[in-house]
Amino acid sequence: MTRRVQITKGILWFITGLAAAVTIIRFTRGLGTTTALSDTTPWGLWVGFDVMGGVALAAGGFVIGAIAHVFKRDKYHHAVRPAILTALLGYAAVAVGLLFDLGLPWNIWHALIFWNPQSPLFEVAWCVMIYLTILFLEFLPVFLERTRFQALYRILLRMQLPLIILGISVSTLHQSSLGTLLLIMPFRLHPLWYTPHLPELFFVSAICLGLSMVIFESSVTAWLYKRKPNTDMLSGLARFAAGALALYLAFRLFDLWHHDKIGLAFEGSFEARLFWFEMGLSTIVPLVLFLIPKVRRSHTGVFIASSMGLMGFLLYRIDASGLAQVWATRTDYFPMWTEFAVSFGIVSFFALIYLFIQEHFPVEHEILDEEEKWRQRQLFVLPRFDRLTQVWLGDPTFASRRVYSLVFVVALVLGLTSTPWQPLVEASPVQRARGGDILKVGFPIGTVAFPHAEHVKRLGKEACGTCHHLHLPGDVGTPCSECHSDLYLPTRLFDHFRHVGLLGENASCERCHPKEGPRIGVTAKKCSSCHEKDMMAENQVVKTFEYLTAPGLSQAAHGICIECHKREATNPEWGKPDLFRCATCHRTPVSHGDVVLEASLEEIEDEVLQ
Amino acid sequence: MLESWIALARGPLLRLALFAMALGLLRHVLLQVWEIFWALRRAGDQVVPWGLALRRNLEWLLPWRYLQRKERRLYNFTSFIFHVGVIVVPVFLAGHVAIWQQELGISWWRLPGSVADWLAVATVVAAVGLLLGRMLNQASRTISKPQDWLLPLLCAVPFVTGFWVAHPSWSPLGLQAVYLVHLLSAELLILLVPFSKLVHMVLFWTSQTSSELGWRFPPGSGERVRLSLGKDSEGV
Repeated sequence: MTRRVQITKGILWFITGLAAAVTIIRFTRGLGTTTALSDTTPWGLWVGFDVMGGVALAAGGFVIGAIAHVFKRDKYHHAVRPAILTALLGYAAVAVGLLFDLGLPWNIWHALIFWNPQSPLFEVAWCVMIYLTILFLEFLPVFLERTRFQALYRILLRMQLPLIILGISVSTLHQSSLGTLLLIMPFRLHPLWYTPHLPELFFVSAICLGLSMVIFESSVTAWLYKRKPNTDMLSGLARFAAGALALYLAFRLFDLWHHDKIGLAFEGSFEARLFWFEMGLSTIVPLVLFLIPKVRRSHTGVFIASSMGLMGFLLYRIDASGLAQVWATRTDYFPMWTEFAVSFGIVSFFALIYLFIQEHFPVEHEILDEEEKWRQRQLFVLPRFDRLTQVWLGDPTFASRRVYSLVFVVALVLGLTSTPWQPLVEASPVQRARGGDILKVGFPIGTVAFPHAEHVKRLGKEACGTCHHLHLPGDVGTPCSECHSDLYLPTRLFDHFRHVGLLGENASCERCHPKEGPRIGVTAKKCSSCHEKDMMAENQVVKTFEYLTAPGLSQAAHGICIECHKREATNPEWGKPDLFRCATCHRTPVSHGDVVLEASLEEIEDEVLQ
Repeated sequence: MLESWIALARGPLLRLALFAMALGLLRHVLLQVWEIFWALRRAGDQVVPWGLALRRNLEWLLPWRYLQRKERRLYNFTSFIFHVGVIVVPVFLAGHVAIWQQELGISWWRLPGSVADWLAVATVVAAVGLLLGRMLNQASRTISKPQDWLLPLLCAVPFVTGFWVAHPSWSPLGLQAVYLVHLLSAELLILLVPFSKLVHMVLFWTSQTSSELGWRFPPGSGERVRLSLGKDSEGV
């Protein structure tokens, strides 16, 4: 293991640690806390980068398989195992990334049981599952090569060609289906990206991205493990990449010209600039670079060109699934740092697995032999004293385990501390109920119809306290909005300064606070011990008054209304068994314009009162 | 001005310190278990007297045997008092339990206020006593590292300031300033736990367990030691 590998692994562990922190919060507090996604922008970085980009990143597996086994180019045999490993890990990363992005991740298995053959995602889901299995079978020989299961190893080796052909066909199907997904949004996706040939474009771009990834990855491993790069193979792959890039460029430009949209690219709009930036980064510059023989034979040259292609095609996927839709949705979505942490963290985590497999299994025999020699040598190295942790670090595997785990834990702690634990909800003030009859809550979430007079008529005046459970001192029937003044955010009720002023400045502390011990909110007297008579009303749901904060109106109303509606739904006197259903109170406005909303409010009012 | 610092110390900094301590300690335990497991797996002699190891652990965890030692009796007793105070006061103090209850809704037995006061005073005295004991003994002085001098002092700060927070009339400074120092010093201490010898709060048992396990070497390790030390030509 070289110093480079150690430092790289340290960085990867750090990013993985950050992602682990966000993972905990993502799965306990939900998408609202960890992403900047909204109803208008339900697809963010996770879909664009991890799913759309990740599937294409892993396309190297089938491309190299085709070149080496189907077209019988023997010099690319060396690249097959790393490419299949990348594909296997890449698809696993896509599946993991999808778990983050799904609102109900525990339902991910539904595609297996509940078939919807009309959906492109149905095809994608099945192909990804089948292809993951195929990739696993393709890669299994690597795990078995140096074990005693030689019979199984030889059987699997004989199955390689059929498996690779099956892999190519499955890949062709779902790489293009990802493009099919976007076909349903011709009015949302910008015309520079939208075309009926999106499936074909996605397939060709996957080949380009897959080839770039294979070149990138083999030049990076050569650098990491200080091996001489296989220049012959790399320049050959670069030539294939040049071909694929040229095909993609011609296809994309011809498609624009054919649909008479090429003029849009010269309009000077944000999308036009984005288009040229993406084309330059993904296709034009790498194509030019790959066409120069001198660049193809230089290690640095292919590295630069392939990483540009890599970023460019990832940008293509991100554009198609997000940036090129902004002109229609007009959102200002920008990923939160937590989204970046998860995206890069998944990549880092699987990169660590990649390095582990490279170092312990015969993916590339040179690397494994080198690593085993290194491990043998390390047995005879004396322990090292670590100044930071003040301990003798034992043998180097132990030492690196200590260092990596420390880096991971530090990142995890930083992540847990700096991630918000509450959804970032903007303040949405509650208005005082209009005319005493309709509760109008935040637009455009919906309108809640609450016929006040009807409730009074049915329940009688004695029941006021059911809802008006707390009043301002000396008041009766204080409106909800007085305390629950925001729809979602809790409101602080207690006014310390007011109490200090009314009770008599510094001499009055002990009327609420204990004589001894800390004088803080939690040790003070309960509000109800003084205000039971003048503020509390009789109520079956809210019995106590000791909270210094009132929950948001949404939470409070759901607590109080549903409790009662559930009970009354079974009451034969009303004959309303559906009383507890959402639609009883949540009425969708007819149209999303302010004027229409007001009109529809009146309509709802009339309808409900009848 | 001080309010915003207190808000910072009560919110993000406290969270940082608690997370760092919990996860840092978890890391130490996992690494230790992992290492013990592998040491045992590689060892030539795999028979381990687990019962004996467990008994040793309990003997040293409970203070009886420690207190019965003939040498340095006062120092041992002071150390015992210090440990009781350092554990019992922060965990069972009524004000602290109230905060846990408010933030997480969990609650447990609370220490009566007067007991907490006396125990806090005893802890501070014991911390000073420990430092004196270390200072006055030639052998302890020689093996002491900087953290051995600093940690008892740092432990005393939250106790002194905590006492002042509970009894503002004794305090030479304003309540808010004392409260801020209390928070910050306690957080620094909590943060340092996984990075200093305070980690013995979870690793004390390994000192006993490793002495049972650690001296079992893999077969042929004598040869490796010889090679590592560069003494290939000499006999083992």
